[in-house]
Amino acid sequence: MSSHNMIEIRGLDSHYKGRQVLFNIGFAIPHKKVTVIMGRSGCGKTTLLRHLIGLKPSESGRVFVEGQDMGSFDEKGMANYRRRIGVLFQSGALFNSLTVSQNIAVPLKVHTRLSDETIRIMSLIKLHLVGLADFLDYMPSQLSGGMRKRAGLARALAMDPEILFVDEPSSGLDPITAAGLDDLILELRETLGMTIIVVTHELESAVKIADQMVVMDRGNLLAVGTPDEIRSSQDETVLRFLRREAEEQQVNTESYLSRLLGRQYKAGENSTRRQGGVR
Amino acid sequence: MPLRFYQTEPHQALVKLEGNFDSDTAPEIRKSLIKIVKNKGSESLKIDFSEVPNLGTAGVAVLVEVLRAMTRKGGALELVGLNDNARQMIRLARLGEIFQT
Ligand SMILES: Nc1ncnc2c1ncn2[C@@H]1O[C@H](COP(=O)(O)OP(=O)(O)OP(=O)(O)O)[C@@H](O)[C@H]1O
Ligand SMILES: [Mg+2]
Repeated sequence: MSSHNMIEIRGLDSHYKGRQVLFNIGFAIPHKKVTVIMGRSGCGKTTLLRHLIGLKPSESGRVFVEGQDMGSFDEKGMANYRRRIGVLFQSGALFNSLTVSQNIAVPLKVHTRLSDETIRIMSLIKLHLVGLADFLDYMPSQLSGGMRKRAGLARALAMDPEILFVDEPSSGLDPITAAGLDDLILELRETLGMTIIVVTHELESAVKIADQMVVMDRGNLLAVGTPDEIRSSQDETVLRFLRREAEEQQVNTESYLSRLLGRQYKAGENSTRRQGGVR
Repeated sequence: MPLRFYQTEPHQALVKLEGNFDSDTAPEIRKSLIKIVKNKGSESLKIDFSEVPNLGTAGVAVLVEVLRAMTRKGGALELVGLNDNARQMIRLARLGEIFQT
């Protein structure tokens, strides 16, 4: 693995309205490599991305971009950083009132003085890259979910970013289109030396594209390593995650029953029901 | 970014670009190139990239515009001295064949 890191995360905690959702996260994102972040729904992957793209403020000393503390970025520093990154949000997040090509053009119109014609050609180049060149005049509502994702990826690539963040690019894609996306990600790393961070639930895709895999569990970092290292992990939780095994949800069951029964339910309280096969 | 223009032969123009050709510099380079293309003498245009460290998609897009303008007037466009990065950018845009890189 390269000794040169693009981003370093050290002891990052995160809260939403006082509820802690990330606990002491620390790892490095190597330059010009693909880092894949995995973990069950709700474990904090998108929240972590929000910190890395500066959408959620991190305490000083937690996130470093090429050695520089993101917490100390002023407005200009943050704007400079944003120009270097491309982001595909989990929701796709296209502007519904704009056509596909106008959507791709937005960052170019905001950040550059390029002519309309140059921007039109650039949009077409990026749309062709994601296989949507024939749909440039469509409205987002006329696209399928997977096509919207790809249009979002074209927009994320509009400014030739050095760092690309993609949150579940293949959700809603058929296996062939998803494999095409994996190839594109590898091509971007290979040819442009892009640093790429991908959140995905697809283990097969993760193993194919990842130089580094990061596995999270309920707000904690569970494991970091190459796909081979992760797969040969001895950690029970990692193995369960890889085997796609459901975990026991004793705690959730109790809180669920408490809600239903309107009072604190204690395990074993109603033994007849337990014998009746509730668990 | 400096751009040097030479009329090497009566109908042959050579442009040497110096510096990055990306979304920051593309607007100016575009203006100069369009002027050169309109110039009666430039029936064939050669652009020298040997002093261009970085070619971005904006640069590729401008090259497409120049190519179109040259083709329209029956001329030709040739790119020389492309480094690996520039070649990759052109190929990533799936324009490798058109620009013969
Ligand atoms: N805007 C928000 N306000 C309050 N809580 C939030 C917000 N966004 C996320 N959370 C909480 O933070 C936790 C982590 O959510 P996050 O979206 O980061 O998970 P995730 O790993 O991306 O899940 P998924 O795989 O389903 O996208 C969850 O408990 C969620 O309820
Ligand atoms: Mg998410």
